[in-house]
Amino acid sequence: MVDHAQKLADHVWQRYNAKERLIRYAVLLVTLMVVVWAVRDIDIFWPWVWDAPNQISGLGARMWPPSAAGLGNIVNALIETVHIATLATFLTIFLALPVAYIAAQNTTPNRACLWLGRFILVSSRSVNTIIWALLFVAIFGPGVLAGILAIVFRSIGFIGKLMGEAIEEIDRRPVEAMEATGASKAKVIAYAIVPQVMPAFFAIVILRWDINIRESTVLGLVGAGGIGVILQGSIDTFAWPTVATILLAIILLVLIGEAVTSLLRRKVL
Amino acid sequence: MLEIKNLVKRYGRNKAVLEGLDLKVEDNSVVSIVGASGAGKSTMLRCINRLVEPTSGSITLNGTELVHLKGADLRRARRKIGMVFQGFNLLDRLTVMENVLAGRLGYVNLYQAITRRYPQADIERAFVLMERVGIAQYANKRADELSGGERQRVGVVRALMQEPEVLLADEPTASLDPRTSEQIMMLLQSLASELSLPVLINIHNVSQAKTYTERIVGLRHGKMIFDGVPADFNKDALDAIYGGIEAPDDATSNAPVEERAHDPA
Repeated sequence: MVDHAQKLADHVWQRYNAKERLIRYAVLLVTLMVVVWAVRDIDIFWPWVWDAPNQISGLGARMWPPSAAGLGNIVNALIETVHIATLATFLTIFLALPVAYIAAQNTTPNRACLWLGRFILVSSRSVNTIIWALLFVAIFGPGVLAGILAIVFRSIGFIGKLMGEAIEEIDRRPVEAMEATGASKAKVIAYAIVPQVMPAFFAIVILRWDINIRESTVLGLVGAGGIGVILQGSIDTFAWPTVATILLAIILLVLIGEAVTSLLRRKVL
Repeated sequence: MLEIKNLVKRYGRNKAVLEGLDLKVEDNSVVSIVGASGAGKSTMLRCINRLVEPTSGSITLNGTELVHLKGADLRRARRKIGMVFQGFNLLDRLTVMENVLAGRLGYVNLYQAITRRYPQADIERAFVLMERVGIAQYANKRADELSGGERQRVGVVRALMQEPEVLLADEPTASLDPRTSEQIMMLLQSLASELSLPVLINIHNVSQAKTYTERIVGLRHGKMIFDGVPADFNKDALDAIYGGIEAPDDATSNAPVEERAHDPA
């Protein structure tokens, strides 16, 4: 206490005291130990790592110049990729909104529905799109349908969770006012809830469409349609100039998607 | 006529907010309900249209018992009870006209509600009422573009669109500046006589209560402790209703002696 008062008198100031400093060093030490342990455990074959620059330049040389042959195919596959994303996003809206409604604390009919809704959202989100795609390729065979369903099943969790949160954040007072007029549940939703979550809805759907375009570019790697199918095919046949063209095309598509969605966002919000 | 008998409301196992309230309001009269925060004014009003479930007691509106109604019957009864709120409770992103027509939601079907195809008679009534309170020029403006007083007028018109048999106003002027709140009180007073409609107004402002209403009901701790005309509402009544409220737990705190002197207890 006296020491403390003395320090104040001398204008000595330290952000952390001795105990806090000890804890900070301990956390740093543990983090470093975990990193070292991980690197030693995953068993990297170091000669390949040192060889990487050679491999990169070799691959680059094989890819250059990108081949314009098969450009028509690539463009078609890109359009198919966008279709997968668009259809999947559209379908998701119809499936995710009811789930959002029952998963939101303030609109759920009862506890059982709340937990059902949350279970659907968590299971949808905890499985990666590629895993969903593997599953649906196994069920429906390779092709676009499996890809669409994979994206739908992953997107339900995303749109459902964010819409559920938007519903939970609405102002309760208009809801009360609409109930007081003698409006039924459906009318209360249409007048007091829907207008309040509309901006969030558009923002979320546009964002998910953007993400879905990127996700649908890799679906083909497991045979679920889109640009990934011909990418995988070209890699398998060592057609490196074509691979280069496809990679450039994907980058271009993602950039266009980015531009379109930011334009839409500005228009809608 | 609105008649409340032995109304009790208890939240969970706590002390009752309303302890056996009796109140009879004849048609065509404006009643103000005064009382400190937590006296049960808002709960009483919300028990009438069942936004709050009464624990026991009876509330009848023109002979219809309201307390045990369920589902469609409750919604039908609510159509006849208009309510005006302290925070206006408008649909901010919708237009003034949509807000006003929302008062008809209990009468139109879901398709009409969603597509905004209200009967022409409703639209005409909306314009008449909006002209009456002076907001007709804002029909196509968004509700959140209006000022406080204008927004409360939208709230009043929405309630009147219900063709109510009683109008409840829960501190309708508490969010407004003094001048605007006088205007809203005047509006409620004149509408009540024009439409021969009983109006119950929860209000904090005692002088407005005395000026614009013909009967004052005072609540304290869920009990009615005053019921009479404004002329009888004197200093004693005021003290009985609000006295000592500022320092409810001064028996345990060490409040200054001069403050404790105001406590009638």
